[in-house]
Amino acid sequence: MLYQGEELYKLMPQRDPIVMVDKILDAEGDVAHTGLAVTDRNYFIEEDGRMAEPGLIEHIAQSASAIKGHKALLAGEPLPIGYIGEVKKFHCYVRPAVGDELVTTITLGAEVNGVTLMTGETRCGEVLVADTQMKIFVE
Amino acid sequence: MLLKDKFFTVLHEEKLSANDAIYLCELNADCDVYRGHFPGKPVSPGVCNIEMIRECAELLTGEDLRIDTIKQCRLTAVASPQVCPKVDVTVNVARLEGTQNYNVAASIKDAERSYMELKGTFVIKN
Repeated sequence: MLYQGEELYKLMPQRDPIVMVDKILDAEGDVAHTGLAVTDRNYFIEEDGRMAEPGLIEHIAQSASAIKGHKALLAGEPLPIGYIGEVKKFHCYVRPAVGDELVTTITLGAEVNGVTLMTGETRCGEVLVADTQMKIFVE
Repeated sequence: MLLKDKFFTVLHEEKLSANDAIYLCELNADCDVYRGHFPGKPVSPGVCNIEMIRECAELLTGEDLRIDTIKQCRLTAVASPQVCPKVDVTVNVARLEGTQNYNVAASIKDAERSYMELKGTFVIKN
């Protein structure tokens, strides 16, 4: 475990009520693992106790944002603010429920003109929850 | 619905056909999401705009829909209640025969610019 809970605030600009990542488990090279415990306070929980799909997209985007923040901190650079530029080939297989522990694999690709290509894959235990490609703009 | 009457308010619905509509939506500056996105710098989360499209597609179809796939969603400009207090959410749905699936094409625009273009498949919830 590299960071958890509010320790992540030094890596990312998002704050309550829309913090959608609560752990960085590891980060080696271009691959990192992050996590989120799904609680009933989560911004994207619907009436049936499950997370709306845009919450998963935000979780994956904030995971990438926090990892870029971690790399910036190590390099002594200012904290980047990232925006989603494009979501491509997003697939939600199952909506997570309150109580689920999500673990996400983030693979960061090349950064060209401030745009980073990345892929994210979210699981709950062995179950594949969602996967996507994304372009993140960094300001 | 998760964000209707919270993040956005539908001011007007223009139904062009059973499969096409334009929803004039107000982005609510007092929505609690702006406390955290970002403190002192309100920016509409792109994913909240995706959710606004899902909810407008539910209004159009009269069905509860989940997002199965997003083939492509381009976020072409940064939106906020200050930059674009009112936006047109244009939704086109095409039911795939013999399935619970809709192909959805949607955009978010105002007179100034386009903020989002989305193509995907939404599915009727069981």
